[in-house]
Amino acid sequence: MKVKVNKKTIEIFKGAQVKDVIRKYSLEEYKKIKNNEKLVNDQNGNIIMLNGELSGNEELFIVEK
Amino acid sequence: MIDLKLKNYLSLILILILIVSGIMILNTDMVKAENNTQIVILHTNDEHGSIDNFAKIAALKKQYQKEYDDVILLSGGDIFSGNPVVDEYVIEGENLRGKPMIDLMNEAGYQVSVLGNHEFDYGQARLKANMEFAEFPMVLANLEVDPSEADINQPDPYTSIESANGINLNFLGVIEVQDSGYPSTMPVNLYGLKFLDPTKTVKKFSYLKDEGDAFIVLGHVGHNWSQKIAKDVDNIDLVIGGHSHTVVEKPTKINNALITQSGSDQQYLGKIVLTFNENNKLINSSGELIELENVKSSDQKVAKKIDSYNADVDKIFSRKLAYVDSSISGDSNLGALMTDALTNSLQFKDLGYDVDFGFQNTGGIRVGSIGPGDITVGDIFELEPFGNNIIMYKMTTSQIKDMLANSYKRDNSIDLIPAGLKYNIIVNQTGDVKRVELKDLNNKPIEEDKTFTVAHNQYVASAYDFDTKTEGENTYIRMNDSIIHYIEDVISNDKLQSYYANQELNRTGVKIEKGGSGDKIAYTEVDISTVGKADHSVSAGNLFADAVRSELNVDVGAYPSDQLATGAVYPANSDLFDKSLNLLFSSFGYDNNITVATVTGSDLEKMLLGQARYYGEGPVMTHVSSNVNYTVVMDQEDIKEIKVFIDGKRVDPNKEYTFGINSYVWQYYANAADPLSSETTSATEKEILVKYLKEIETINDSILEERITIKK
Repeated sequence: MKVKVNKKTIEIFKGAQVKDVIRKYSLEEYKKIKNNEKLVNDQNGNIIMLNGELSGNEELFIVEK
Repeated sequence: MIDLKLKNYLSLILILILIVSGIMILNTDMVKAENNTQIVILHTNDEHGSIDNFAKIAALKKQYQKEYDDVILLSGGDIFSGNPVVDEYVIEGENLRGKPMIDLMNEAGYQVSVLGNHEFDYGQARLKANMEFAEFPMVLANLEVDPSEADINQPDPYTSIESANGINLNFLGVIEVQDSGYPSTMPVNLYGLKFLDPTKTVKKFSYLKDEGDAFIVLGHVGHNWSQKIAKDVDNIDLVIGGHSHTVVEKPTKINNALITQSGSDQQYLGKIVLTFNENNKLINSSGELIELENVKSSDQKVAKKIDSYNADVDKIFSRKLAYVDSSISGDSNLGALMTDALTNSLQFKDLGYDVDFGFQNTGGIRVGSIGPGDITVGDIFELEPFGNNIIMYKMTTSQIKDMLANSYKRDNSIDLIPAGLKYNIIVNQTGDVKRVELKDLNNKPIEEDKTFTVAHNQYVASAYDFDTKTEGENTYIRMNDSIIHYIEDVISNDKLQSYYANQELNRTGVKIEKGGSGDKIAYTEVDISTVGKADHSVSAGNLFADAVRSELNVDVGAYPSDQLATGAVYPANSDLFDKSLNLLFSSFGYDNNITVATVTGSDLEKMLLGQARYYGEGPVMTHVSSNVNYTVVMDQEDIKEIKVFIDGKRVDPNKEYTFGINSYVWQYYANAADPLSSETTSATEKEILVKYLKEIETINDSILEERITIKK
């Protein structure tokens, strides 16, 4: 399935969680999120937890905390 | 004139009154007029087995019952899967998976929950038992149960709760449905179940608004889908969501429906305030999230029950799966055990996968050994504590080779441990990967241009660089569950002992072939090897230890075996280049230095012993310089004692010696001793070795000597 992270389309396996698509986008960014330096938001500006489950065509944004 | 002023003054007061009234209407806690009714809905979702905050939730419910006309506590689904206390709740042989969660929800006063996708993870028999044990309805509307096939009963699509002042609230449950027609769980657990479109289902039941005073959807569909439902279906007052683990701090309204969700894992408790007028008409709704970490109050009865379940961890983790006389040690053997679970598990066959190959990253193997003795559930959770799911792909031979080459390049060392095949990474003397050789477990080459079913753990699937023929499917089977199943149900105890514990499994290797050029440092007359690095002296370890002793003038030069590359042999009678060294010494990738410490002879022996025992990969965890040798005294599998000799004489326990080793691992060595002093070089390990090699120019057979004796 396809999910956008910071406007970049990432292809990831079906049934992926937020953490999977973020790791695929950037391991560096994933580490910053794990270290509470950054957050993942949905397109409405809500925080999404790393273990959140994804469907195709969702859009995520990595933002400063 | 005065009248005009008075009029202006009165107008100003009127405006102020209107503004204040407006503010009061906006503030839900202030809209409570005498004849209004305020009902609080407290909600969690995606608890995933988190139990520790139930006492706080129960206390808050009681507190709000005093402050509001009524309080309803509910869950947006996915209460199971994520905590071994809940997921592995098998007590005295009885499978009670999920029971702690239901019991605590009963005790905390939950009144309704929607079935989430992970409610099906333990199978239908357990779901049925859990639903029967629940003192609250677990609703789901977009599910049709075929009673002739399925083991669960048809759940209620909705439940009605009559609240304060006769206000009637209807709660409808829906679950997400993927393109496959199933929710995100193991399809094997979904026999006899047909899942319907959630939006159409909500539309079908929207008459519930007319049959009550509020129509509330418990939508375990993800936040995006919740919004879509609210947009597409009229008459919804509130959608309490789940699945996407979205933290909705300020719920927004779509088509008059308030949409919310409270993250996951009981970090937050959602609080919705619904205000009804004297005609039971909903006139206001608003929501907020309460961060449970900041809540101090706690219901003592629930807290005791939580403590009781947490105390069951010992029982759960001590469940015996097998027994081995000697340990299963090292990344190669443990990785083989983990990945063989993927290729041999009946779980995946049941899902329709005939798995050819499986791969496990060494970073995900979290212990050095398991056993000797009982192998328990707890051992497997220590081995794989992440609960990574297994993802299935179709991959071609060349895609597998490319993946293995890429994984090697990450740290210039073998990383992925395979099942179903063996492989060698062929590099030249400067570390460029030239090709990858694949063989089956009988050493026959794997055919080119074939397509295989390949199982990866979730981390490898997302963090490693590889192409596939299919996009990949989450099986929703966790790696640790798969290993438990493999040990408990598939492999015999004898096979476990003979295959994984009694032999060293080498399914991977690095072959360094001649080729490549760069800055020549030295010439080697002998192979420089890391093979068997934890079992005996290896020439690469000896070489570096000699360099430390020579360059830093210490009594004992050393190199830790876990920092050596795995299975590498640098060819004899060839030049050695700067880049060649990284093929043998993994720590060179981190620019570590050398720490030189002064320790007593007694502490020197304690340090080597402590490290050998702690790591558990093998009895040899430290390679030493040529003037040193040591004896490891074994008592069956246990390392009983280490005796160190310098120039043939046992070290004096009270005499001071200088000891030089990698600065990163020094902290672990120091844990076992009381060093008198220590100092770290400014030069890196690699700089020290390069200087040494340039001085000696030629490496000879002195590095082939055995400096360690294992005495059983």
